Amino acid sequence: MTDTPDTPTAAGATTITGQEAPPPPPADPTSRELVEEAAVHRRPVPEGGEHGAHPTDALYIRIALILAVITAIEVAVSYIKGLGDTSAPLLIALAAVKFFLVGSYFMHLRFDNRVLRRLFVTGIILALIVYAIVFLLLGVFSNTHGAHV
Amino acid sequence: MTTTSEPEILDESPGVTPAEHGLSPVTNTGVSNEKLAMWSFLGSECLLFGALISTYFLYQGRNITGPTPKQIYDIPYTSISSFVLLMSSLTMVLALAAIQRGDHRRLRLWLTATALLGTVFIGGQVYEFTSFIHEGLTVRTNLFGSSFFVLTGFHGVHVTLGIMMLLSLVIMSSKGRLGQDKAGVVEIIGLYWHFVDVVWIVIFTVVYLIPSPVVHVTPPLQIR
Repeated sequence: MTDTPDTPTAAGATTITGQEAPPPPPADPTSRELVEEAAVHRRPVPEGGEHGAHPTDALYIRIALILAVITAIEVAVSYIKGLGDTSAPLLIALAAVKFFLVGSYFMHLRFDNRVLRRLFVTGIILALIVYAIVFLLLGVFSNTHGAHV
Repeated sequence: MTTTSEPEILDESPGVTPAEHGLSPVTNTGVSNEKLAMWSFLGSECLLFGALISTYFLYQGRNITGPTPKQIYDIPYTSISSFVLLMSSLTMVLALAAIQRGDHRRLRLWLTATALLGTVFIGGQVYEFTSFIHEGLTVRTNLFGSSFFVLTGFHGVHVTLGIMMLLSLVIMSSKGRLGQDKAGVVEIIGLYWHFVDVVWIVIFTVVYLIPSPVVHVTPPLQIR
């Protein structure tokens, strides 16, 4: 395998001139760097320094309790008759909060590489756009059987 | 001339490198190929479940014959099932935290708890399906039955596959084949499990809680 000048070389790899390239700096940040990075991005400080850029167990339990409370609120909202047409948007908003909490904390999207977040959000947005178009075409929002396809 | 340029590191996040997680070596995105593949798969699953949920929406309230959702749904029962699945996400993330700390006893405990909660959820779904069938709703009864059973059935199959993967992890850990360096494998299966939970969050709201609208269905054309 040959290396080009702009291709990162592994530690101890040989360049096209046959001389040994200098070893790259370590990819893993130190615990201090992690704390500084967390402060800059306003993220929770990773548990255990460089070995585990994830929140603590206590935070996970708090998130689970919040999810349980939101579920209870959702069920209560579905039983309140006086809310009328506002119950559906309210229930969707509560589900979105739960979705966000599970995605951010349990799936670590808040703490992981941005590439993953973009990948997942792109899938969701694409799905929402595609199915919104389908709904419009089939007249779902008009509350009639207005399919002209 | 010697190449002296510094290698570019694109990893934007702190934490353990993919290689330390037992996954593929460092990539130029800073994300292991396996994890990236799982996220891509989950992105595509959004479209699959989006299609099934949209179909349910589309057919909502357009039944010519019963039973209708209002007649057969047992919201308190399904709420408990939802709570069970939500809590399984907590035990899953605690299992991941345990293996990252090298605590294999707690890893097995939390993985088993997650599989057990998932099994309770599936058991509840089987009971619900059975009671619906006894009340006269099958996949062929009406539009509601078709879309409901296909949507929740697909979700149930996903949960069942997740339980099988969790039990595989427990067996691997018991045999000593799931060391701390394999935390990435637990993380990837955990992502799948959390996704299944997230999908249920949407299904529970859209299918069970939001009241079904009454749609004025245009009668079919008379063909002479």
